[in-house]
Amino acid sequence: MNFLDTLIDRAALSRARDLFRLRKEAPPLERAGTHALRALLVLALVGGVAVLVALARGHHVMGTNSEMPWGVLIATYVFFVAMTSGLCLVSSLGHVFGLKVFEPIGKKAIFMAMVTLVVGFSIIGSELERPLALLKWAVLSPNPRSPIWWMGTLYGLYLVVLVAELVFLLRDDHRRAKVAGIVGVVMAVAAHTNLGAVFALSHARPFWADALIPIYFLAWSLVMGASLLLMLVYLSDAFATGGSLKPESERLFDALRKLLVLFLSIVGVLTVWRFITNLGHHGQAFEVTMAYLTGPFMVSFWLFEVFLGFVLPLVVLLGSKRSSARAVTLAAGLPVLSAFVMRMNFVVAGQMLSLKPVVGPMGETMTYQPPFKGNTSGFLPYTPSIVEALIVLGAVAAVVLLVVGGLKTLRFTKEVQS
Amino acid sequence: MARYGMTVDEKLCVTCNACVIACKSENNVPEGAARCWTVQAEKGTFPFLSVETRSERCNHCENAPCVSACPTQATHVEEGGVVVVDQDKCVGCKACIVACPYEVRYLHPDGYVDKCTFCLHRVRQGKDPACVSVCPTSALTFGDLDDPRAKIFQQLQQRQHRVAKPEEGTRPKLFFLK
Repeated sequence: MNFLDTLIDRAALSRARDLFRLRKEAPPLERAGTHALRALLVLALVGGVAVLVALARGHHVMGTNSEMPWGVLIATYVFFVAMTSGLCLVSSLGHVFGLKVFEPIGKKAIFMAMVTLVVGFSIIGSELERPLALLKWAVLSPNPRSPIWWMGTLYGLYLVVLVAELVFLLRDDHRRAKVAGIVGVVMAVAAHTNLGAVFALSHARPFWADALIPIYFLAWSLVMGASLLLMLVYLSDAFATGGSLKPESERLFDALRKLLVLFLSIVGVLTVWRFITNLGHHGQAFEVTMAYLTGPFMVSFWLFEVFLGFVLPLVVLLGSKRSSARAVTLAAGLPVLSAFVMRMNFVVAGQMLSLKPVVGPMGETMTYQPPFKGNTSGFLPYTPSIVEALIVLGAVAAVVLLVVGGLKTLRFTKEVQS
Repeated sequence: MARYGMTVDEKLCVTCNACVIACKSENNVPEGAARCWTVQAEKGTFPFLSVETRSERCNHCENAPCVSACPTQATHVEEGGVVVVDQDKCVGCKACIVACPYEVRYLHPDGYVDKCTFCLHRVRQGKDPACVSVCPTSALTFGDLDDPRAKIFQQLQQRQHRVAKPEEGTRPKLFFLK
């Protein structure tokens, strides 16, 4: 058996096309799944075209501008690489820290972490004006003072570690897998907190320049890791059994539920203190915080970030004696949606106050001659362009497809080979 | 080693925008963007009104946040402490635009970030920056902040002046004379 055969089930790979083939006699659940996968394939292909358009035309096809330089692609990139770190950290409880109950999901989690990181890279690649120049100059002309340089370096190395870890896990080389796993845990924390620092070190943007941000990012990534794995456990059982959890998965499911309760509580506490301390600031951080609490971000903050983000999930997860596995899974899925909204709000909110002084509260008016268009008083607008929106949708579709495809074709369980 | 800076005399500036036009033609600045611009600010409430006028551009900070933010050293400090962007090395991550407290940077249509260079190509030939040369009221002065014989040195000795957002700790080298 050659090296690739130890990782990939070739027979399953050749059957991968069947995933998109509709069988007339198939049960309704499977038929619906096939339709969904077909739709996702179309979406992913359209997203792929959008990435090419973005690479060719750059900022000309983006909704961003010189006053709002970062948009939905940055938010989506952070969203996906947060999944990477979270999946890696939560699953490490099993194959690195030896908690037996988490061991069954280790391989799948590392695989999903790899998928989200690769998709995250594609998004940041299409966001950059010259992604290839970054590969070249990050090596030839590095700036170790720049958090973005560290971001590229840490996540680049992290991908290598993840690939190695997955290969060792699939080959059941537990000794090497553990070493790679330990390095992976360190990289997951380093890379994601550093990504928080990309924002936290932006002194010019007071809403971002907050020492809690790296910790906040890490806490959210743990939520996403636990929540994605919980959904994975339930969904893979549900598709096999027609809607219920297998008895052997119950302990793992319950352990993930408890972890998620812990992580959601941490996110809740951090959210409360981030916003209360911001209220004590002056100037931009205060203005933006008020925009969250009572202004343009009010609905998305209170509904998505707070209520659906951790309040409702905590109620359902804590009351799980009376909640079915399906309800727990649904409640675990909500924070993933909220995590996207949170990042979108966060990226836009940090930039939405023009840094140039405009109309002051005391009637001080300032008229700016040429510089930038749309420099009006109040909050700067941002709407994602069609290309940006398609890249985001395509990325979500690509992650689902790659995960489903990988789960079908990689050798996660060792069958006896003749 | 020179330490270049610029003063803007708010008493002399009439916001004629000659500096803006000169900069645009000297540096081929694309439509919709500017490396230098003018500000007219009405202050106070009736009847105690006044108008502030000035020309603005990159502050060429001594502690420049854009230089720290750039992952590839595309934004770097050149001779005389002038902060410039190397177009080849710029990857278009826009971290410098985010980091700059003064919004002096813009994304060039060709996919790199651009801003004022104090016309370093002219300064190397012994000339003033284009905006300084063209100013009809001599409101702009460019020179070595450490040279006691320079006009800018004497202005900063004798006149009250301020910098933009001193609280950012960036130590700007663009001074506004009151």
